[in-house]
Amino acid sequence: MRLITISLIISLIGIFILFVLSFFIAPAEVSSASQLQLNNYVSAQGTIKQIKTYDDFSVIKLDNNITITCSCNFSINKSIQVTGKVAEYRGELQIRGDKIKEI
Amino acid sequence: MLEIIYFALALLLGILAGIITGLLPGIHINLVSAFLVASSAFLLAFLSPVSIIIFIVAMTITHTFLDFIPSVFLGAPDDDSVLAVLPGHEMLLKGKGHEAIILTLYGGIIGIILILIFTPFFIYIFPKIYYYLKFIMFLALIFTNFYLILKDNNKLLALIVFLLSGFLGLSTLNLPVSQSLLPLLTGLFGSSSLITSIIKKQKVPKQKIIKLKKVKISKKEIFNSSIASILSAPLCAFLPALGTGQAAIIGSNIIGELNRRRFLLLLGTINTIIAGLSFITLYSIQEARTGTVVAIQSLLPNFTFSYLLIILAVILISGIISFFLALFISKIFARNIEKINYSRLSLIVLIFISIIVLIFSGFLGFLIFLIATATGLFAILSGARRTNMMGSLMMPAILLYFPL
Repeated sequence: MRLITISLIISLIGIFILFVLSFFIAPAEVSSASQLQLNNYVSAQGTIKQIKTYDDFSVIKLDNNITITCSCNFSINKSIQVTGKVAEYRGELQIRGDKIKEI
Repeated sequence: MLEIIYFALALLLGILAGIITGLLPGIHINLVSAFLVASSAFLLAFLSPVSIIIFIVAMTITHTFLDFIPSVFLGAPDDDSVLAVLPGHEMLLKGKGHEAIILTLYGGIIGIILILIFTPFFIYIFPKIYYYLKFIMFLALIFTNFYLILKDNNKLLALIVFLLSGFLGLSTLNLPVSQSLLPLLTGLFGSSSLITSIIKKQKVPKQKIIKLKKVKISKKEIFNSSIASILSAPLCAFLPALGTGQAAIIGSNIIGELNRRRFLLLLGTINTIIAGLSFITLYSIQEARTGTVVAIQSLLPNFTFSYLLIILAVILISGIISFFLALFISKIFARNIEKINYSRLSLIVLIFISIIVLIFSGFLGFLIFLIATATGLFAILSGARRTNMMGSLMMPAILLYFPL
């Protein structure tokens, strides 16, 4: 019975801590392609300079040379903010966009 | 001729990689696929993209046959086999661990047959109704979870476990943690079971090495499992953020109350169908749903019908080979598991998966792992049905498919 109570208390406090952390732990901001590091969760913003649209995803190049892949629909010269994980594709580091919004 | 030798070699190496990823908890096929994509420039200098794809498909299918072995014998699951821990472990404690594996293997073979039969449907009909599926999925998820909680003997406890796991899942998926499902599901389903085994000083009895033909599965069991799988697995294979766990919960509700045998059969079927269908989605709706398919997409941007035929052939061949390989490996586990001090083995596995979580998900991932373990322990010790912990995946999926 004591172990049930202890595990429930740890669970409740832990979930609360994670819930709060999810609001406060912001991903690292990067401002250029050279700051990207593989597997890091990052946030970046910039103006769209180039878009290549494939069947169901787009490859977006920002003015700071950061490349983003996403299932999204934006147009050139829009300013966007992206959050996602850094992945490597054919030798180039790019952000796989999880959350993208226009700013 | 040389090309065929390369293809055969790729198939065999893929199966070997699938055995390793399947047997080692925490080592997911997506990791190997990501490594292949990262080193594709180097590999493509020596190999054709088709060879690499044969490797990836063979590895994926083999993984779905092998990953039940650590779940059943060690209580250490991966993302796709978490639900097998409970019924598999119960059968292990009755000396029927090998039989549990055979049931999942039969399920895998049924899954492969269903993939081959229904591929034309998935290619020509499914894409036309695909856009209506999101709403159906929202209703299916809501209905399934209500049903799951309402049919529980202790509804309040079921609701508490579902909500705890659900909020844990939501918080985890909103945190910048790499491989976030690893600490979440390993904690909820794996380490909590292992700690229980250690506390109870569980001893594993001598396992019966039952012959293949002695494991009887009735036509009704095959029919029920096929219907449930074919209705639930495609939804979860075609729609994002869903997987084997959600499909198994929905599928088991379609065919009503399931005993351990039927549930394991269903899990084996769904696990293989979802893995196989993930390749078909690339052809039919041009979308990648898993890490392995993203790897294929990046290696073969122009995915033609002939590539799909190659993939189906690889699914069939690697499935049959993996069936017998898994059977062989399961026998080795079954013969030796009783000779080992199971509490000590559980402790070693617990330390191993803790290290894996630290390596792949970092300190924040380890914190999630600890909290998920406490939640899993609460569910086990309070006597709640552990399927309610699938709230960790169901609740984020419900929010994702919320129509507003």
